[in-house]
Amino acid sequence: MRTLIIILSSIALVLGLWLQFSLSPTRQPAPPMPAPSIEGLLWPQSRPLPAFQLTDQHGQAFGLEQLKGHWSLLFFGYTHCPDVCPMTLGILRAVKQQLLTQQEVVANTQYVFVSVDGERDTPEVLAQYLRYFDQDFIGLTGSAEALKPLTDKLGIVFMQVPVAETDNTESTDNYFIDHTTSIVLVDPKGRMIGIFSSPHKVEDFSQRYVAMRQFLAEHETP
Amino acid sequence: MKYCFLVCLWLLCGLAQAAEPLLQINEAWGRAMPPTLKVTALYMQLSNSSAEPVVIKQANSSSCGMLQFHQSFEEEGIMRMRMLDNLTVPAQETLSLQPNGIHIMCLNATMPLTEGSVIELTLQFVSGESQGGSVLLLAPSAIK
Repeated sequence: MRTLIIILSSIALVLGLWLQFSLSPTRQPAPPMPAPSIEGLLWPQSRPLPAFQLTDQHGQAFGLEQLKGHWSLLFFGYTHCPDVCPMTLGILRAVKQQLLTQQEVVANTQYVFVSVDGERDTPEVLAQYLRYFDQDFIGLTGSAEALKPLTDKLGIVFMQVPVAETDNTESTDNYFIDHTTSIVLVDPKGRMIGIFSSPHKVEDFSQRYVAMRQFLAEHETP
Repeated sequence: MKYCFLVCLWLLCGLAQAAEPLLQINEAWGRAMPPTLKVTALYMQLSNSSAEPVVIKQANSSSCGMLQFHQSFEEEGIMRMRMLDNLTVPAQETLSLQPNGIHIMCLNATMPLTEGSVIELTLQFVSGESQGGSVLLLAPSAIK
């Protein structure tokens, strides 16, 4: 009799365990986080930048290490650019001022103007130029060769175009440069994580940048 | 005496008509540049209230070694800038010269391109007529 009770108890236990597992909801891995609908945010993709060596407007070496630890907005242009570049720097200046009220969200942002005209844009020229936009803007310059690792990785294109109908070859204004006008967001790990395509508008740019930073603060480990 | 007065009035009206500029130039501004730079872009609204298109073949200024008509445009993500042979303002329309678009380029400036200074220019039309205009230079960071 005792043996029978033990056998029946064992069967009941096995049956109970089987029922519990078969009736409980199926355990599946958590679905992947959907990519956010913030225009220009590359997450979960990113593009780690290679080592590079340029010079800032104070004559100091500036490379990948100086990008790491900061959120950097990179714009590529040149000082002899009369139309698009000053307009874009003016927009970045206005964005920076507009974001003063949201410092907790966009803290640690550096604005970096990278010259694609190392021939004319010496550190001194950059320093004088950027003074007219914002004292905190960082200006970088270097030879086309020095720029290559960075521009290749970021997909930035630039090419010289002679000024038409000028025979004044001694003038320094005898060529313009066609170039990409997108602004690139690099995260503190030194990875391209976002891109802002032109045309740039102050309000739209500020809103998207704040949205990107808020999203990344929630979904990225420091 | 009465006829003489009417003839004079008719002549004055004719003169007034002849003196009327071909275009209305509004919101003319340019970008001041740091002292190291001798190039800048000039912008304005050119309105043509006549029944015929107005073609500007050239612009001149004693403040600029050369003035050219340029157009910035984006192509496959790259901002390009190319010279235009002339500017045409269609009849009864306004041509906007603005950043990232059509503009007048001042090259080899002969004066400092400082904020608040004015560039006086003359527009030469294909009709042989010409018209003057003043362009105020705003801060390098100006957005319009």
